[in-house]
Order: sequence, then C-alpha cells, then structure tokens
Amino acid sequence: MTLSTNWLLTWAFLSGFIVDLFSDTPGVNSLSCILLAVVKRPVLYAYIPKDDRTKDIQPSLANLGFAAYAKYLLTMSVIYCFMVFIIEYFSFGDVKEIVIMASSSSVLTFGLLLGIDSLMVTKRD
Amino acid sequence: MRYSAWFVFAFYAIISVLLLVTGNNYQRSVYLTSANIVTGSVYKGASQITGYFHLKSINRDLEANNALLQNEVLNLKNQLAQYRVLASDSLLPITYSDRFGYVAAAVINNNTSHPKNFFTIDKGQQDGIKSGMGVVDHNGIAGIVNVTGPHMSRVISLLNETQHFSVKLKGTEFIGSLCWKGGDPTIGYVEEIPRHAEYNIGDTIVTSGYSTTFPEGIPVGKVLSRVKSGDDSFFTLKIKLASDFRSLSTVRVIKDIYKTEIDSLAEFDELKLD
Repeated sequence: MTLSTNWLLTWAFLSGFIVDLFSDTPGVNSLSCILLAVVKRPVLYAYIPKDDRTKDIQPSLANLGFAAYAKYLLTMSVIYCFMVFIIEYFSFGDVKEIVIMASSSSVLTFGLLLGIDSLMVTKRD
Repeated sequence: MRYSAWFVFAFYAIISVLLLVTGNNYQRSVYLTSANIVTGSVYKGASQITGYFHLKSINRDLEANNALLQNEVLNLKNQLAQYRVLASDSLLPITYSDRFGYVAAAVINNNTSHPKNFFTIDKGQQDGIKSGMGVVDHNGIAGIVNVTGPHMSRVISLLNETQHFSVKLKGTEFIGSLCWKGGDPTIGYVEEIPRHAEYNIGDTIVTSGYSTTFPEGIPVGKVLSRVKSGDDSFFTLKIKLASDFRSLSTVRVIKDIYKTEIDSLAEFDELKLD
C-alpha cells in the first residue's frame, strides 16, 4: 500500500492529534508527526541504494533488510523524540534534561518498533 | 503534485502551531482535552482495569490515615466537652466543616512525565465541579480543577511547572509558594520563605488557607533540605511531597460555599482600583 504525500501528511497529522487529545499536549505530537512525514522520504533514500529509490518502496524489515531498516528506524525515532521534547519544553533552558529524556525515549521507541516489525515479518512467512 | 504537498504541509503545520499556542489558553480548548466525552470515556474504561493495581498501597495509607483521624476525633470530642462546660452560649462562627464540602472522584488519566502535567477525573459540571476548585487525595493536595466537561474534568496537577500554591510551615505563619520544577514527581520546592523563619528538617508544610481553593492545614509535604535561592531575603526549601502522584486513584474535590462571594469581592476590589 502506498500513500500519496498529501494522504501521508493527513494521516501523520491525525495520528499525532489523537495522541495529543489523550495526553493533554495540544499541538506537540501533531507538529512532530507532520514534520516526521516530511523527512520520511529523504531519510529513507539516504539508506538505500540508488536503484531502489522508487516512489513505491515502503520502509519495512521485509523490504529493506535489517541493517538499512534499523538505520532508518533509529534516525526517525531520534528525530521524532527530539522534536517532541523540544516542542514540549519550548526552551533550551534545560538542554541536558531534554537530551537525556529524548535519547532514552528514542532508544525505547526504536526497540518497541523493531519488536513490532519483527513480529509482523514472522507472521507473514 | 509536489506543490500541493507543500500547501497541505503548511496547512497542518499552522493548525498544529495554533493548537500549541492556544493550548495555553486552557479555557478555550475545552473540547480538545481529556475532559472531552470521547477521550474521557476511553480513559474511564482503562482506569477501571488499572485502578486495581494500586489498591494495596492505597488501602495501607487509608488505614494509617483512619487511625490518625480516629485519634483526632477523640481528642476533639474531649476538647469540645471542655468547651461546652466553659461556654454555654452557642454563638459560634461558621466552622470549616460547614464551609467546605467534598466531592469524591476517581482519577481516570494521569501523567507525571511531562513538564506540565494534568490528570482527568470522572466528575464534571453536573456534579457541581467548577474551574478553580482544589483537589486533594488522602495524603495531601493534588491539584486545581482547570477545564470542566459535563461528566469529566481536567485538573492541573501539582506536578505542573506553571502552577504555584500558597503554603506555610505548619504551626507558624511563614508563608511560601509551592512549585514543582520538573523531574522527580516526589520532590517539590517552597519558595519565598522569609529568611528569619525557623524550621527543622522533617517539618510539615501545609496549605495556608489564603485562597478559596484549599482550606488551611491540608498537608503538602515534609522539609528535606534548604536550597540556594536567588534572593537574599528569602530562602527555598526542598520538600518531599505528601501525595504519591504515580499512584493517584481516588481524590476529593473541595467546594467552598463562600467561593463566589470571596471571588466577587476580589473582583470588586480590582474594579475600584482601575
């Protein structure tokens, strides 16, 4: 399933917005999600060979293989978590705390997503 | 195609930024919070399940609290008996128990990891909850009602960097301002205590009663240490908060029958001064 850029942005906004509704953080996750949707393709293209760079390629363990997918996922997790914490704190007054919280969240997010993805791969086989 | 994508991006980005900015004007964002009917009912379902996990520790706290209260009731009964003998005339002023009423509520959503934390309770306008009312749990103060829906309310947690509470050292009249500075959900800070105030480590901090939100004497925490303060004539105390915000489950919302009266007096004052 491939999505046009407009739909990708819409889904990104809606998923972020729903998270915001439930966690009383209006705008924080929706803004992070749409920015993540914008950097999705450049990040993905950076980790795959030139020949594979077609519009249809979807990032997943099955499509990219472990090494490329792990790099893609880690980059995206780091970008997302730093965005969320920077927007939420809304100042660089406490850089140390932002860095600690964002990095530990990135590791957790990366681990969880990789776990979910590996489950889906074994199901398909 | 690429151009339209940028327009869509700009559109969503503007909406997000607006949410981010107007989100600070809490009253206007009533329907975009956890006090909303849809989010509220989802949280209610979830908390009915997770509520069981903290029952043991809460029960232990309640037993301890109960014992303490029974002691206090006995003491007060004795005192009352003595006073009855002294004063047969019953022109007593209205007491605290008459002035303040409590509404029990369950916490259905709670956060302690953000710099600005909120929690959601399952009582709203139809139960008489209004914005600005104080919220306590069995250990001490918990927060202030912020946004009310018909059946749910969102409460500004004590663990919110933007919220300050008027407190004092128990047994004295030294007033300070309680705030939370992020990080550890068990640690708070009392600022602006006058330098000549005397205190000991382990002293209890209670609410000052200088607002209509909380009656006087509700526990807030215990003094851990003194920390450096920017101003020489005041100092700051680091305190251990009485309530455990990670296992908040049942709270009481405080209704003050004089609230509208006192608030309108304050408004009247402001009008005169302008």
